[in-house]
Amino acid sequence: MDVPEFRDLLDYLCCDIKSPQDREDVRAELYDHLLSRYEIDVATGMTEEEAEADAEQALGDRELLHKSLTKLHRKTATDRLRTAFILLALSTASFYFVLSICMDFRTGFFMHFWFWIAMLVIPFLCQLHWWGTDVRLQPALWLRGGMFFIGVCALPFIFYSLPNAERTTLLMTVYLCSETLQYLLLLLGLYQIVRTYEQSRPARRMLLFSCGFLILCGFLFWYFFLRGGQISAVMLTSEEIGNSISYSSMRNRHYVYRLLASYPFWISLSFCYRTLKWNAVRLEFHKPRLRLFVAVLGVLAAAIFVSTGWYINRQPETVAYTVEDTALSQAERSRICAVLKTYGLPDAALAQLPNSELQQYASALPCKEAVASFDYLNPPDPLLKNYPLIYNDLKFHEYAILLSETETTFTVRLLRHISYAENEPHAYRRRIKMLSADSHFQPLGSGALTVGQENDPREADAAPFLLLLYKNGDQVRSGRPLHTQTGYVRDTSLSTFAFEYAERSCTDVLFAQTYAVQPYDNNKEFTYGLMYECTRFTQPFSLQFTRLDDPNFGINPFQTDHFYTIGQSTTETFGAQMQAQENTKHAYMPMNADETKTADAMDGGRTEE
Amino acid sequence: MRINKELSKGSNALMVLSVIARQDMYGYQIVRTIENASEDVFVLNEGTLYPILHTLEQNGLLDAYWCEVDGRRRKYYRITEKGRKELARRRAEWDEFSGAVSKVLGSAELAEG
Repeated sequence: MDVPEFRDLLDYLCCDIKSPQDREDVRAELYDHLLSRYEIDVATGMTEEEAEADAEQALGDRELLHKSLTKLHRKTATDRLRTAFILLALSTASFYFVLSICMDFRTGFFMHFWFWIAMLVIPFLCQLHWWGTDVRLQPALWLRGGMFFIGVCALPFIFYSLPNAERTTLLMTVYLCSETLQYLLLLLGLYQIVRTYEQSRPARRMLLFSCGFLILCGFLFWYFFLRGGQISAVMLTSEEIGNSISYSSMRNRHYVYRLLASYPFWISLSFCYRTLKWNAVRLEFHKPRLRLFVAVLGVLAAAIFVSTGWYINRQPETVAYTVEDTALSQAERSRICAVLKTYGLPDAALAQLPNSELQQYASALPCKEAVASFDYLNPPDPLLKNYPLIYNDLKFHEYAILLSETETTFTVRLLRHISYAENEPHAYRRRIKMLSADSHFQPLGSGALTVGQENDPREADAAPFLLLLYKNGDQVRSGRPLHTQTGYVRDTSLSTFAFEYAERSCTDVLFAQTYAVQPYDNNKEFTYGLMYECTRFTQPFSLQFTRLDDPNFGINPFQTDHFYTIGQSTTETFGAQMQAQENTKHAYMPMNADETKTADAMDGGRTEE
Repeated sequence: MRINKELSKGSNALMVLSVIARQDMYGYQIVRTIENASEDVFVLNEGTLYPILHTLEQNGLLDAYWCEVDGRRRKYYRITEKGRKELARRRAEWDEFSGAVSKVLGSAELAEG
């Protein structure tokens, strides 16, 4: 007796079952069923053909059975893949947290800490039925849990027993190795799953992507890591971008709307893509109501996305600008300008300052007097020893103008003037500059000055000033900052704003703020002047920032120990600045001939002492 | 007499659980057992049976194992502890349901009489 194989029928019934193992099992079970009926039919007197036909007919609705089996066995495969994808995404994210530790150990560690907790909890979640974790992912999960315990136990010993530099290196190495190992294990698990579900093309794509990402991460990490500290610049950049976005969000809600809309927009787009393309794994997107909901959400999000983008990118508004915005006699203006000129402010910059800003300097001491009162033997050195400075090929001038001084505290108004050359070569398209100027000149101690706090009677003195000048040929016009943080609190003064300038224009930016400065404190650092160029500002999270200069893309420590070093700091290029630093270690403020002699005498006097 | 499909739909899983609770069975055997027990009233075809079996298995009410019979693989099902509890629950539910239906039908007959 020739035993029928029911090949066509079984092929049809099982063809959409994803797992080869499941498919084989279902096929064997159905075959046994068909054959059992066939054998009994033959035994009861049917011909082989009749028995075969009867067995197939007894099957009922083939299409229904095919659909039912496919649906039942698809869910399991999907669950397993979903878990793998989630774990993989988390592991990918962990690289970011590891990198964040480079920048700031405390912040980075705590960021990483919650991630550890999450990854520790996941293995337990994986035991739940709905999670459907594949056993092939368990090694990676348990490694993660183990690393958590080891890390918690060992960290205090590592942290307190090693010098700072070695500690960082060791931690970074340990972190990187553990993360890489765990990531590789996950990839291995995913690879095994993909092999099981041979039709799951998305998983294969994901695997390829992950491998590429891993290689790229590893390369970038070691590239920066081996360059010694340069990685902190990368992280600093990302932090600045984040800060800038958050600052801007406070002032311009359209960025928030856009940001909030972007998530459902991309998610719904992703769903649509998956529905159309991912025939193999459709996840849970087969319910019509859910599909409708996502579609509506996607349309709404897209509308918000587009409209806010239009709003953000609309043509810049300009505001009326005049130097004589408040009443100030010509004599008083001239007097104040003369005082400011002693700090090296050029006539062009002074001519741009409106009266209201000039009045801020009514009580300013001439630079010469300030220098004369400076105690070189016991310098308060308020403006820092550690002076990380990042700058670009723009002209950046900073003037610390002494408004008043007591035995313990200086009150200075930092006036910053940034300008671009007319022939700036990279102004061929619309550009946006983002300036972050974080200053940490905070009053020290509870009894100190509280400039910048709300309700402070001297609040007006601390008032930040921001002026953007757009020059187009001989025409001067003011512009609007795209977003600014004009509110100031104790710890964050006017710190970030972004502005844009038209094609082939020369932009001048002037901004100022008053600070209370107490004598030098080792723990205080002064960072300012992070200037980025950003070519696209419509996507907050895909900003393309390009540093304008400094091919090393790193933080360049600029050491100074002289208060009036910032009397004039004109930086055109990093090299030029470093050269200037070498040439003039102290007191290179701009002066006329007489003042230069005075300064030379002071330097000489100090050298002799 | 064949029973309306919709009428028997809700009780298929109960019947499958019930027959497997007596002894481990494979698919065809389940079909025949139900047919015989119901005197050919309930005839389950594969299109109905296997989705039920696989669902019960995925929900942990049934457990499965393979045996080699006459040179081919045969999948046997056995009820789990969870399955027994579920069977008891469904049986009680069914008793209550069928009792209620009988009462309604009985009262209707009395009214007609």
